[in-house]
Formats: sequence, C-alpha cells, structure tokens
Amino acid sequence: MTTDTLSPVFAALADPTRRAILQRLTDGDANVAELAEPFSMSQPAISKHLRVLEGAGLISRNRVATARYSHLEADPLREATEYMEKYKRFWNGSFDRLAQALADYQDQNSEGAEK
Amino acid sequence: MTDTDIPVDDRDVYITRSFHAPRELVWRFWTEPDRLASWFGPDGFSVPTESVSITLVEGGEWNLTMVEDATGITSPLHTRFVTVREPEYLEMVIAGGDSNGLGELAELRLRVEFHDHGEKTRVTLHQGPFTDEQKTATATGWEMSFVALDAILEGGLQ
Repeated sequence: MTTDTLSPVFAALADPTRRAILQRLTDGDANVAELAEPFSMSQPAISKHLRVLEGAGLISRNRVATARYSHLEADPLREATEYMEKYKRFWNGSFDRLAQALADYQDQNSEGAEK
Repeated sequence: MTDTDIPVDDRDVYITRSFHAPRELVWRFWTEPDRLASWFGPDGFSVPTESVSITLVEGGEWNLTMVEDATGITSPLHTRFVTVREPEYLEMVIAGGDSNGLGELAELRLRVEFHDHGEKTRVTLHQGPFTDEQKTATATGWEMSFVALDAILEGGLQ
C-alpha cells in the first residue's frame, strides 16, 4: 500500500461526521435516511460525505429496491491503522535504543557520575 | 476488526518519551553523527557512523543510512532541516527517493521538541505530512495556548 492510495483514506477520516458514519456502519448496512438521522444534516449533505467515503474505498454502496445501502469496507481502515502502527513501532524501537545509549554514555562519563 | 479500530485522527504520529539525561546531552544524540548512529533505527537495524552527515543549520542536511543486520540491505535517509533551535527544537523533512527502500518515508516531516526537566528530558516527536490545513491548526493551537498562559500569568500577578 502506497502513500498515494492511503491519502484519500486519511483525508476521508479527517472529518468527524465521516468518522461517525463509519462508526454507525460497524453496526450494519444503512441507507442515507438512517445515516442522516443522528446528525442535524440534510440527506444531500450526508450523501456528499458518503461519496467521499466511497471514493476512498472505505464504503461500498448497493441498491436495494429504491434505496442505496452503505456498507463498511474494512481493508482500507486496517491498512491505515497498520501504517500508523508501523511508524509507532519504528520510533518506539529507536527511542528504546536512545534511552540505552544515553544511559551507557552517562555511565562511561564522569559528567554523569557528578550529577 | 472491532469498532474501536477506527482511527480517530489523521495520519500524524505522536510519540513522547522522558529520558534520564540533561537536555544538552539528548540534543547531542540527535545532532552529532557518532551519537546519532548509536541509536537511530528500529531493532535489527544499524547505522554506520560514516554514513551520517549532519549540517546543523536551517536548510542543512541530516543524512544517514540504515542497514538491516540480517540482510545487509541499506536504506539511505536524506533529510533536510527546516528549523534548528538549539537545544529545544528541530524540524526536518525526509526527502524520499526510489533508492531508500522505505517508500512511504518519503516527504514525511518531523517535529522534535526537547523539553528541559533538569536531570530528565522529555522528547516529543510529531511526524506527519502536515498539510497546510494541519499547519494552520497547529499554529492556532499554540497561539491559543500562549494566550491562555498569558491570562494565567496576569491573573497570578494581580
């Protein structure tokens, strides 16, 4: 997964309404009226958010009779989470080594012993 | 996958850690080649001291090469300082390149704060692409903090 693919995912996740919509979809598929209900927003406004989420691959939409149902797609979310975790591991590992290097340095130097 | 797995933030990464060392020493471990080489990189990687090149001025370089111990595969990291405020703040941009083998590390921005707590130093690392929108948000956040601090200080003096 490249940064270019993840960019729309993170852009989509940057908005609190869209995160709330995703949260709602973890309970099951929903149509736009059901998704609009908790927000003081029009259905067209919600539809706009849904298009962004769909563009990022975070949801898919299926038509059932006259209504379109949104479905949460887990993979891009998982990849976004893994992206973050990877860098946290990188820095936490480096910082463990920095703590050790600082301790070693101070053990070997009189400056450290004098403090 | 549970509902708690949904990331609630953008792609920025924050890491903070308190080190048992004075701030000037921690600063040296970030800005002197042999010191930096002794710790940078995750487990299983080494940084040869001779691969480190640091020019500690704004626009200067902070370059190094990580070598994976098991395979010998090298990952050069080319980084340029955006801001240098000794001994409290460094900001740099990691310039990618196909040769670095890290792909996504390209164009990342790092902000590193060194907070003086006497015998201890708290290092706060903020990694992100920092879009213009995010930069403004961060700057506004700092301004608001300082306004609040001023108000508290004035209140205390009355």
